[in-house]
Amino acid sequence: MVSQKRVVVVGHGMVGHRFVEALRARDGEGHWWVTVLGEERDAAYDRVGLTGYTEHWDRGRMALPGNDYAGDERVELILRDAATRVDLATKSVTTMLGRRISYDALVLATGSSAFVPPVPGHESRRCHVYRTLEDLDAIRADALRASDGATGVVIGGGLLGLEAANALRQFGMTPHVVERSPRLMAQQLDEAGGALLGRMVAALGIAVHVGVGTEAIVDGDDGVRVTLSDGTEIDAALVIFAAGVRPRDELARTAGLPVAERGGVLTDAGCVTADPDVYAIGEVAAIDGRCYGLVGPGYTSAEVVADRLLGGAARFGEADMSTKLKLLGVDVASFGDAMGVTPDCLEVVVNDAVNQTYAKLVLSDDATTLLGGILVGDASAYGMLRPMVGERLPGDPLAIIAPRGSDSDAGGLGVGALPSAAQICSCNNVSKGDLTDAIADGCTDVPALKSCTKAGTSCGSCIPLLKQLLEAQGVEQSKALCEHFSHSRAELFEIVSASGIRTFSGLIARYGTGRGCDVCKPVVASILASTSSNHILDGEEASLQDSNDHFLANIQKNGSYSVVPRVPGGDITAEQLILIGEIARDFGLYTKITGGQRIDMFGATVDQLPAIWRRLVDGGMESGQAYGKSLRTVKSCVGSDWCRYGQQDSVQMAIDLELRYRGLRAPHKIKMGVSGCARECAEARGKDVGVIATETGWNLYVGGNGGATPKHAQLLAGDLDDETLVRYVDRFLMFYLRTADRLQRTAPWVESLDGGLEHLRDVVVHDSLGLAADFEAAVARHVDGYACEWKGVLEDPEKLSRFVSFVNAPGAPDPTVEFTKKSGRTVPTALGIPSIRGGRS
Amino acid sequence: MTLLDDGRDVDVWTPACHYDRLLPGRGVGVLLPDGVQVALFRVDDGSLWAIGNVDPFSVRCGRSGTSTPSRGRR
Repeated sequence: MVSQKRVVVVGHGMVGHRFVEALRARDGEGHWWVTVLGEERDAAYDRVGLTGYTEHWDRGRMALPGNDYAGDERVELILRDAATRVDLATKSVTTMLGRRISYDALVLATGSSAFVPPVPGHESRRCHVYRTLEDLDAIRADALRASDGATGVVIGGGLLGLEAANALRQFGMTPHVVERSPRLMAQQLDEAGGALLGRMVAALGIAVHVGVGTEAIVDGDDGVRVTLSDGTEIDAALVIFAAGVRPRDELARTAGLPVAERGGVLTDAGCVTADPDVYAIGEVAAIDGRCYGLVGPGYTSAEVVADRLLGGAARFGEADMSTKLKLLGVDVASFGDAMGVTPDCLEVVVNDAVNQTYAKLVLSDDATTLLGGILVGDASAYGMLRPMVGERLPGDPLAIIAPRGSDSDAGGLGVGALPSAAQICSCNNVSKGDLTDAIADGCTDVPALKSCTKAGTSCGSCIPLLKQLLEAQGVEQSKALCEHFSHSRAELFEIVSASGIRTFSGLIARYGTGRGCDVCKPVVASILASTSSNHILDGEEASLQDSNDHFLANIQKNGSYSVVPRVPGGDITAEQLILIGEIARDFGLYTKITGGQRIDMFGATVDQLPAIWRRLVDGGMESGQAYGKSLRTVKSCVGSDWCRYGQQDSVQMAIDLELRYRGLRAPHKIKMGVSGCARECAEARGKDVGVIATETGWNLYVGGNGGATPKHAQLLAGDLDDETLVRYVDRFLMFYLRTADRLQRTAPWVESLDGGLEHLRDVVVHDSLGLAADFEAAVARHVDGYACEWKGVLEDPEKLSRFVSFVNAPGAPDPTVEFTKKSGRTVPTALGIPSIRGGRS
Repeated sequence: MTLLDDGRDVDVWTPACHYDRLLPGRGVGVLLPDGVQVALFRVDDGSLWAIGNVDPFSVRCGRSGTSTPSRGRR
């Protein structure tokens, strides 16, 4: 029997989404239909990581996985409409847009709203809150209007307030943080920890005002004047309120459901409200009278209700209020009974003012059991400590938090020391036992563990522990290229560079086994090409290339090839256009403009390639390397010469970049783009290297990707002059060439780096590895040694002799390569299925 | 793969090229008098192998341009 019961979820935030996922995952028999109401423009997104939005301003990247329930016909998602009334008697919800939806069960997941204290002037249009993507867009608009270094005031010095201050800093503003209590992060930190955090934050150029309130906000011509209770006056371009949140319990109140004294819909431990068909989850729920403002407990409440709707009796247990975050580059963690409120508890404290670290452990009265703790400045022990809360400590507590310097890691404790009930991922309530079970069931890497257990999919702070756990369980992370080499591509690159071995046979004899395959051969060929300027068809190297590189052309459907001459930056003369046109006409080739602004000629047979290239090379053109895992094209807009909006000469920059990196062999193809202004007509942020003009220079973006998994390139460095830009691109490319995996584009490569974009920036901009000069020298050698590959073939009769369809009949075209016309275009004809001679196979 | 040697005696030999012209592991195309195409390979141990040049899966010619077909791949 198909049930027609409907659950209506009000609110599509992180917890609402988790509820739908949990219910759908467990409701295999299809007891429930689900209707979700979300008032925002976007479906559920990562509100915990809201500040990350300021790094890319890409709403798509904020989306939570699966938030559109694509392909699930039992879930209906309604966005941009909010519930305005709940009628418990008729069991229905009325919405702002006039919808009326009946429910069998109702789940309130409306979350909270930012609390704005009733300070005079708080309604100024320059006052913001920090809660939604829309809020951040509005803050950004104000920040962009302000002059460089303008002041922004954040009211509230808690976790969110410091995040907001960080965002203002990224806008180039000077933040002031105003906190009513005597220290920052008063909820999570004690006095000494808060004091250290305050000093470290102040050292970053953030003005910290603690122990003061806000008296008034007065609108002026181009900003506001904020007056504090100690008389201080601050002229600011904008104000952000981050002074706490209030549960959005209006629906429950008007429906007559009881709410807690300080707000929040009252529920029992099963998250059931006073009406047995109405549940509350997440921040709006006052479970047994208490509201929880963290996503971990919110997710737990979502799971509880999903279980209950399917007849279970799950209860909300102890909530883990642990927090770990990196605020303004400062690590802060607070877990368990951080404030030491347990009667007779003991404290062990290390306060290292010189190295700016503070650590406190709270222990049971017999000093054996860990109850909680605080870490500021260095929170690396958090991953180990939090799961141990409530457990007996395996060693001397002081040793665990003593400043490092020795080689011990977290006091010599490993993840192996944890009991199997210890919670590793608090966001998703995944225990060590769950993870070891998953590993035993065949999860052998972090992505597999993430998809199998959900651990590490919310805040990500436990991912290092997942890696450790895999190692502790004896799962070896194989980096072997193939069965012939136990090395990764990066290791082989180092071996080739250091050993000076220049042949595949020499390399495999010394470092590999067997004879090689079509995985390792092209990889070695690419490494050899990256590290020298020899022709790729010289000597033994010729036999390693894949088929495109072997014929220096792109093979097409019917075995014919396409030809793409280089047109640096898309800058082409009338003579070159005529030459290409004449060649296409004389050889009967189909011509098409490519996605990268080049001209592709299709339908050449192998034996025609040398004749075609003879004419192109004689006309001054060179190989466009469309066939190679190397720089393809540098796309550009028309730039400041012609365009009324152009800020820099994007065409010249594109030409310069293309001529510099042409022919550079890499783990995969590389595409670049240069735009002359922020309108971005060259779509540079879809490229591996994207350069976008600013008023005073260039912004450099890296790691963009079109294709099946598009990625926007991310800002690596801003406002660079020409010379610095090129230096940074040199370093970026060489670092990529040396360390990426085979066929790994830059986008996944950047993601795979330990430390991601930050680490990349350290290497490229701050030269943290000390390799910058090396990288630049390698590019310089490449530039000096570059030669057109087709010119090299035309000058060498031996290489030229390979461009035949049949070795015993040079010049005879392949009779099976045929073409036909379709809507006026030349297209390849497919061959029939071949017959088998003699009837045996 | 398509075997060209169907067990009967070979009656016509077609000269292809000098042995040295063959790169180890890399095929070349040979056109037989009856128009049939063959991909000729010199493998690493020095022996010679030939298969039909038409790839029955992608239905195009051009095995001759590729590497020696290897176990488990392609």
